[in-house]
Amino acid sequence: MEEDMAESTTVMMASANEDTITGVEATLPSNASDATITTGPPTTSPTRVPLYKIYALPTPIRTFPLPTFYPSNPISLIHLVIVWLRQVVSPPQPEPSTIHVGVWDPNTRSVHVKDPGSISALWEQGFYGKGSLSRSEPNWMKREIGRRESTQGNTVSEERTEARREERRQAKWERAKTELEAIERQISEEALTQVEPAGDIVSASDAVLPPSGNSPAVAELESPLAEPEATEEVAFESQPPVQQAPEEAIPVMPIKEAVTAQLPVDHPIEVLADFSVKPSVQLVIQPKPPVGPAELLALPNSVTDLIRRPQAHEEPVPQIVEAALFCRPIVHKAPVGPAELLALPNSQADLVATSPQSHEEETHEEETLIQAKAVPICRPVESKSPIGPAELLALPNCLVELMSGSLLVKGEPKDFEAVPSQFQEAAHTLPTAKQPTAATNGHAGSKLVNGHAQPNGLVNGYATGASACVHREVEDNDASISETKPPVTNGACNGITSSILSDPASGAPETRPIQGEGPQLLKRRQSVLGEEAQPLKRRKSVRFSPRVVSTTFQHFDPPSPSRSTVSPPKASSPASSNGSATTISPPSPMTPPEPVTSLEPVTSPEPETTPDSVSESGPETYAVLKELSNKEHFQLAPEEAFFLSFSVGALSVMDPVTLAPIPTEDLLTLFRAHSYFPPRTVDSSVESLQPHDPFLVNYAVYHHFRSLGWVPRHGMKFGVDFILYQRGPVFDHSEFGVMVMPSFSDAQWTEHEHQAPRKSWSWLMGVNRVLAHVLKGLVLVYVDIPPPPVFDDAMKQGGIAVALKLYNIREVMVRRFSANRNR
Amino acid sequence: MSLDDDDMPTTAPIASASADQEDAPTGDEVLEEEIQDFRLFRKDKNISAQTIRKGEKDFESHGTRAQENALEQSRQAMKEVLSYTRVHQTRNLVRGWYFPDWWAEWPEKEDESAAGGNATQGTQEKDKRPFAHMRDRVVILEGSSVSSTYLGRAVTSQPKETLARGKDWLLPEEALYLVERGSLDLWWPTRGLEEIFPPWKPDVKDSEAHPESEPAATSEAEVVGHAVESNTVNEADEYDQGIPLSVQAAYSLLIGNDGERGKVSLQKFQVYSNLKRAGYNILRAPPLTKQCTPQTPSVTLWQWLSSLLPSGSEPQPRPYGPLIQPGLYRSYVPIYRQMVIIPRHKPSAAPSSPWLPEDPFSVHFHIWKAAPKWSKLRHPPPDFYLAVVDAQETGVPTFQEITALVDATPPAPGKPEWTGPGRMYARLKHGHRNALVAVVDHGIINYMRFAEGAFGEELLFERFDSRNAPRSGKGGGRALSSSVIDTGTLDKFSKQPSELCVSGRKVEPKDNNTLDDDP
Amino acid sequence: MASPMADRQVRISRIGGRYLAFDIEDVVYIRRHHGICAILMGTMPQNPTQNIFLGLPIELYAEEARLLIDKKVAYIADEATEHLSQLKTMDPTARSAYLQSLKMQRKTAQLGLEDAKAKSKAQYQRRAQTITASSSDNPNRTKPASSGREDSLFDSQPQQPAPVAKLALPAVTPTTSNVLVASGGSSVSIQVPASYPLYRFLNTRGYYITPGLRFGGDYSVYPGDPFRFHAHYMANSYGWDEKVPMLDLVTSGRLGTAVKKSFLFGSQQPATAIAAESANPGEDVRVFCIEWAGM
Repeated sequence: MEEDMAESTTVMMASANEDTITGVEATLPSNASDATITTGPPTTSPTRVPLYKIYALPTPIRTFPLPTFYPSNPISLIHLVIVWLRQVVSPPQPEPSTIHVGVWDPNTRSVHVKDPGSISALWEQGFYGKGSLSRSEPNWMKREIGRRESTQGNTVSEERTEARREERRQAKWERAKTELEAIERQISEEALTQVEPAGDIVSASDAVLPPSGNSPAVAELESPLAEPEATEEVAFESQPPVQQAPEEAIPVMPIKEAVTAQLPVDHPIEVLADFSVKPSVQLVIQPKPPVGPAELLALPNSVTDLIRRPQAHEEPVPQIVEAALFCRPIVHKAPVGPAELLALPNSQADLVATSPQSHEEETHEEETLIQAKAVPICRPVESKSPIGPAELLALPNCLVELMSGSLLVKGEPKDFEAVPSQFQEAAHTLPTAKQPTAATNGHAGSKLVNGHAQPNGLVNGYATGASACVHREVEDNDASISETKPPVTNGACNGITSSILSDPASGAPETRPIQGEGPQLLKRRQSVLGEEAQPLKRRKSVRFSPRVVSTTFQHFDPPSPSRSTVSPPKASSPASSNGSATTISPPSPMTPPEPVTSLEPVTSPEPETTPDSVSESGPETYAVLKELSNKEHFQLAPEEAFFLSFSVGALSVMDPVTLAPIPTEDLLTLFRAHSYFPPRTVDSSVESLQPHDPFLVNYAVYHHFRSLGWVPRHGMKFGVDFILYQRGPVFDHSEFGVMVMPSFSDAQWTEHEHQAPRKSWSWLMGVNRVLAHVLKGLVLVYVDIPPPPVFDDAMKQGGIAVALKLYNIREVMVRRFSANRNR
Repeated sequence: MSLDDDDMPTTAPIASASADQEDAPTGDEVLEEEIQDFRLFRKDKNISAQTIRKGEKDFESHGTRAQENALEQSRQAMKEVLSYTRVHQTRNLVRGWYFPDWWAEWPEKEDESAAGGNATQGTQEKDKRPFAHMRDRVVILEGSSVSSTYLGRAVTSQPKETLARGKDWLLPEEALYLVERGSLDLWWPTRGLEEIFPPWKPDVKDSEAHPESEPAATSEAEVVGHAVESNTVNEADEYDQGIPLSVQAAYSLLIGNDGERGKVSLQKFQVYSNLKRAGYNILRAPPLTKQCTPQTPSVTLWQWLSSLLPSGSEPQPRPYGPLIQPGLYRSYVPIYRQMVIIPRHKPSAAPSSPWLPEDPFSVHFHIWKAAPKWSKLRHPPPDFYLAVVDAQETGVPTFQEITALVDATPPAPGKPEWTGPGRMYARLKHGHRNALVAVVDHGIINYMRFAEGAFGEELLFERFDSRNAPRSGKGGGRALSSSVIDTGTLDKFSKQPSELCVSGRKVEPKDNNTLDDDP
Repeated sequence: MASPMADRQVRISRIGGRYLAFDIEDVVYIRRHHGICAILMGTMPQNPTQNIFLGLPIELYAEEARLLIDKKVAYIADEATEHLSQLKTMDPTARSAYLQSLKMQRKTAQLGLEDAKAKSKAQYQRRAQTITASSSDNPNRTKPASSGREDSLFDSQPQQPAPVAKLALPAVTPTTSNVLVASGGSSVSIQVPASYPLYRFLNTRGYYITPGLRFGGDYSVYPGDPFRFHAHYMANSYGWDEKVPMLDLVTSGRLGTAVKKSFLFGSQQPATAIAAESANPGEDVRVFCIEWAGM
């Protein structure tokens, strides 16, 4: 009881003093409370507030429960009275106290909310919208910051997710491998002389022999099924050398390899950059010796080392063998069988990177991943401890991170050498990149130009950078951080420059040694190149991780500080359009700024991601924080928006053009009209709005469940109209998937033969199976729709509030009945 | 807790794989879904998932000889297994005769009422015997198998001199099923019934001797024994009275279109035998009695009004909202009350739909789980009510169809112990009435369970106040009393917060697969 | 098997508007030579209390029946009428022929029973000491715990072989009425669903096809005989201009991954719809596969 007293008093105090605090929040520590205030910042406060307190409000309305009266305890009565009096004297402003503001966006058919306060508030109150930058809870900002300041740059759950996928891939790959090996054995045992086994032997031998013969094998990969990865796989190649680095005792070694390996890669990368449809061309043309084995091996390794990253380097040879095995099925039968099996699991994650619509997310995700690899290295490098290939992967970017964070002396020599190496390969790039397809060359060409520029002008490269660094220090930091990921010629180069510059103090001295060292390094490298190529390549290819490929996509990051200055106008325009804050990544003149580019989704929805803010780069983080503007924007689905404004009155929707609030009545017609595609115009009598407008029907269902206290969310992800949460994703999995079934039982409908399209049984089985797979129950929600005349009368009489009464809703729970389980 | 978890279909299955999930197919079902390799068919054991799991399949033809051989063997195995001919050992031969039109003119009503007079019937429990569908019964069993517990029906209380008095008659599906499983030898009569079953057959006495309810297999055997003897001693005119029919012939005579008297549609037969094989007891559902028609509309109206009541008491809401009057609220209940505008379905004892079920969406079979004391004459109310539809000819039922079908079944509330928020999912998923629909796609059968849901019965918002009331830590038992909710909901939701803070799936999944364990 | 496979005419029995086949030779033949396995739907007399293995007859899709007819390797027989006509007015020759064949089968059955009995006796002796004798003294019957009630019903466990059993040959129920009814049948038109073109398209490319309902599609498609192979695709057929709801695509894609199949959907180009009936089948069908990216 004492506690109760204490609580209730605080309630009183709170509600009296600041009306933004609810009864609940009052009981929290003050810093926690502002996290929960509807107008507070989107971040959950570091001291972990119990979720059920953060997500206290089921609607944007707060209640002010009076403290309890215990007859046994007279004091409680006093509380009650006091609280009551306080609320009478200085009443909290009538609920809903906060009216959120959103802008109707006809293109996405959603209402955009940009104010971070509103976003988090709405999210916490069970309005999830069609989507947001963060795929789940809109804490993009927080996580972005977390990512940027933490060297490892991704959140716990991201890692967990990855780990999970990892395991899956591994398992599948293992299965496939064993299967294939079994078959191989069979075949060899039966000693059948068929085309297939013959093919194997060839490809197998290829693995070891000079590469030239392999380009066909690689070309084969551009089968309908595997086209995108093929290029991607090759792209992977860029990495092995780098990761290899520390294994060679000699500090110079890595760079040599870096050069050799990166030669072939550039074009695929360019291609991927703007989704040219025929990367295959590029690949096959590749005449470069190093290409062959690398590419061939790329396949198995990209997968294998997933499995045995830890002990990867122990037995390189067997790996190659299975590489051959692995190639075969793909080469001979593209879409089916093991090929498919393998393609499915492995390519899935990888493939996505190349699929246009989603590549952005993947890019991001994987980029963060690389940084994940970087974690170990940052420390190991300093303390010379043995380093597994996994960490080594990340060498290129971690280097720079080391620098951008006050960099350690050991790091330096390495990447100074790295610089010239970049130049050299830039030179190499030049000739071959002449023949990219029309799609590519605009992009590639331009790249080469400045790639080309650099060898002959080491100094000016830095000069520009230096000048840049003065006024745009912070941007450099951003740049450098994102920069470091691309292994691309100029990308990496600039990455280093900028990163050097980013620390102005050390910037000046560093430049000198590079200039001095660059040229002779070049020479030395060519010499080594010849001898070491073969053995190196084989071992190398065993080790790298396919993830590194993602780095290639960093094209979409702001290329280099010097360039980013060129386009302030471009930078601003998209910012306004879809709320992408371009201050971080201004679209470079060469990469056409697609809207996607600016989005940087985060894989993890984790609500309480605790960003391990302790990172080597102390000073930068603040700069980042300062500059990083919140790109998060929230797309309320029409149903949600209408519920908020019509039912709760906690949202006012603005007209995109006039920015004047749209009255609810017009909003309704607007939504109804846009629930058709193309949107219907209200006036045209023939195709005008109907009582069975998709929006109306869906809203009826949404409102129905919402008014019962359920939290409906759009279920597109699961192939259903809605999924129902009891409280919200933070607390429970949604237990039900809802399919809206418009129906026209009324006589007036039936006489006009108006029938809803009949869904097939197989459709139902499908939906049910999918839901069963994610442990949800299927609910068919039949909405019996009133015939037009009745509906129209109701609308005239009492508006939508009355008209909705006419919608008769019946839930039908559907489930497979298992004859075996129930007998 | 990763929120994406329910986005990843691959994370859930771990759970769903465990038989927790009702929807997750059982091992056997998985097998039934696949085409089975007859090499693994064993006729002397009960086939189980484990024994068959061994059958490894490939994803593509990789031209190994082993693969080809394996395939060849499988095909051979199939041929051998399927070439089996049904043999009836003389000692337990059961013979049935096909007399399609014997009961064609039979007035069904009479049969039902007449049943009451039967002395042997336990009068105290129920003196009305289940509907017999006599007109559809086309196969008469030789020997008196009145005691057969599960199949067939005899017309009792008939004058002694009636032909084949007390004989069991089979429905087409029953006959065909028995023929298929090799338990019945179906004959085509070349003589009339009176010659095959002369009035003075000794069995009559026999049949009287046996009280109908007693399943006496042994005596059954003897009886049949006699029968066989009587027509096997004279080998000569063995085929004098008729000739035995093949399975093909049986199909030809017994399978027909829906509604054909004395026949059964292939789909219905497939469902019937599928369930019989699975061990259920099945009877044809009696034809729908029309008694519910008149008052249904009034019921619905009343329903509709009653469902409106909560909002009805409120002042007329503003045409375009906001529904919720701005102001100071002490609890969420009044807030949510104001949102109620759409009528909520309220399940009631009386069927609430104005429509009557129409084929195919009408209950055709009554189904019981295997139970020791079950008999075709004495049995509890059905465990399941089943409609049979064709996957191609029909689609997902319409509003009318499904409501009519479900409302035609008696109320089937969930388990009494399903109270409190913890069991809400169980309650919801179970629903208030339910019917099964067997969707038949060329012999492959999917059973779907449609249940009358009533989310309106679960007022989630009532617990918000208890959730939000100031409380110490998690178990806010005391704090609850501060909120403005009736004590009924109080104890229901008292444990809520602690449960909710533990995210992920709680007890529900386990609950709802016990749903069907008792009707 | 003995019959030359080349010119075999498969008898497709049309019963109650469905298409069935009863002759094991036919079943084996169409499976081997025409990539049609249809659905085994009959109860297996050897083990009638399980649903995993099913026996004759098979039920054919309308599509399958149609395909066989178009290929001129099968004929449709309206069984109900044929049987009735045969049975009602049975001329002595046909009758004797039928009875003769019956006799044969009964003789073989007799032999079968003899050694079966011998076996079971041996078995019985073996099991004598072990307690588990109860359920399996009759090789033809099975008594799973789940349901053995029919046993208590018609064929009870043999206490001791009845004396009469010696006298008579055992009765048999032949599977087919081949002897009874004349082969060769009416050429009837077969209504095929709209998905027929897709079916034919896949079939002509050597895929085996079974009903896909369980997996949420029209067909599930195997790269070879399902005896040996896993299904590769869930196939759905759409109209050429049919609007495919986005939700359905999502479902399909997810489903595909869920059941480890890739989701295939196809349609026939309306323009060539008529021409295609005769000329190279399936050339006018376009198919696509979708796969859920599962990010």
